[in-house]
Amino acid sequence: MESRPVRLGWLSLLVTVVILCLATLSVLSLSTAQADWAQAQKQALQTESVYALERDGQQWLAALDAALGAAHDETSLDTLLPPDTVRTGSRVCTLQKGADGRSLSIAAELTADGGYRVVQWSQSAEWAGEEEPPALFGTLFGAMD
Amino acid sequence: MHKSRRGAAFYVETILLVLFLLLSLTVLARMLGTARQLSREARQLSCAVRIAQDAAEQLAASDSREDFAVLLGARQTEDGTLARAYNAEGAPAADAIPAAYTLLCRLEETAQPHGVLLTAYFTVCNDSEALYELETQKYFCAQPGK
Amino acid sequence: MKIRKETWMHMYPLLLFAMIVLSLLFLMCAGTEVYSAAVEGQAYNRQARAALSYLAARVHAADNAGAVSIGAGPEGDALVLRERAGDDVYETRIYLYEGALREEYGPADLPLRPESAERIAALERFFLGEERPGLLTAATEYGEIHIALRCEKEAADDA
Repeated sequence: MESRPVRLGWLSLLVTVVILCLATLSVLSLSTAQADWAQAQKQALQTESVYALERDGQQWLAALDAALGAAHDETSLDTLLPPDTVRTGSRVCTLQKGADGRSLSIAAELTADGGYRVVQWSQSAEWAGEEEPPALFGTLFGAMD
Repeated sequence: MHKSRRGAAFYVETILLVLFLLLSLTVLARMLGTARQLSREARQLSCAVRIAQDAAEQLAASDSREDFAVLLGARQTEDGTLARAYNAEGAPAADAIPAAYTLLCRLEETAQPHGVLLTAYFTVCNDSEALYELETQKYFCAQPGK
Repeated sequence: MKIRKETWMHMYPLLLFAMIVLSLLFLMCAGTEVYSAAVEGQAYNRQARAALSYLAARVHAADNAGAVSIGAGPEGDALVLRERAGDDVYETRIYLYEGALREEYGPADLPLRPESAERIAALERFFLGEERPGLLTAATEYGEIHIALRCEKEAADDA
């Protein structure tokens, strides 16, 4: 009696479909995880730049305190103030700039006893702006006007 | 002869299909493993950044080095580093419980003409590696309330 | 003996493919779990960043003497950031409303309008406190953070 070999066509097809689904799932998982990781990295870098500016600000405070302690009058105070410091009456201000478009604006009120009181300490980041659209879309929008 | 040729073709096809399947399974399993690893690392990094930033804010609000240690709720290690344990959600944990994250804080004082500039080096670790490092400073005026 | 050998020769490829199909199904289950975990983790991290980091960034940007305070929102606490433009005082109010952290900007003397506030992130819990003067705490289901105010508070009457 002739024995027939087992036909594998349908099984191979099924397995191929399953492999394709699995491949899609794997790619989606990997891309999702990579995007999450990239966002976490970005947040980590932003935090580092925030506190780099904080260090600049605290160093400015130390320099301001040193200048106030060494100054005898307003004229000598102006020469002793830290760089990039603007004095308007009893108010001194500075704008510390960070590497990635961040800035720290500090303002302090000079007190009668030769000290200071911080009245502004605000960090902000410049809006990077939207990226230029690809030429194709630019052309399309231009044609629609 | 005809039957044996058909049988041989069947086995060759089987072997090739099995090889293709094994290769696919290996690649896909590796991709899934990488995705799982990346996802875990992203979660850990986000948590570590939050812990370090929280500690930096507590330093900014403290009045002195000792006040910061109290505010942080940290214990001092043998080499003078401050250490604080955190659970998997990034909340402070009791020292007795195995910690998911540990915050290590090394402090350096730099004398200034009228005060002290304290530099804090924060390192957030898990069991095996340092996840995130952050450096910040706080100036303490010698005359408080000045 | 010959019949058993033939039966085995027929069963062998079926067994082999059954093993492979089972391993594929197992990998499919594992892959589904990994994918859902990756998506959930990304969503959690995104919401946590949107809520906690956003709060810290807004306070840091608005840190002026007496400008930051805790008020009352429609469903609990509200973070109030005050700014002066000439003689007018404006407030940015951040609070919880209908399952989301929302932000509203307007003149300080106007009441809250939660329906028209901008949605920041999905949130179920939002509590504000002051651990000590100059150190705010914000508690959400994503965790608790501290936000330090670098400015002195004595000039609150200037705001």
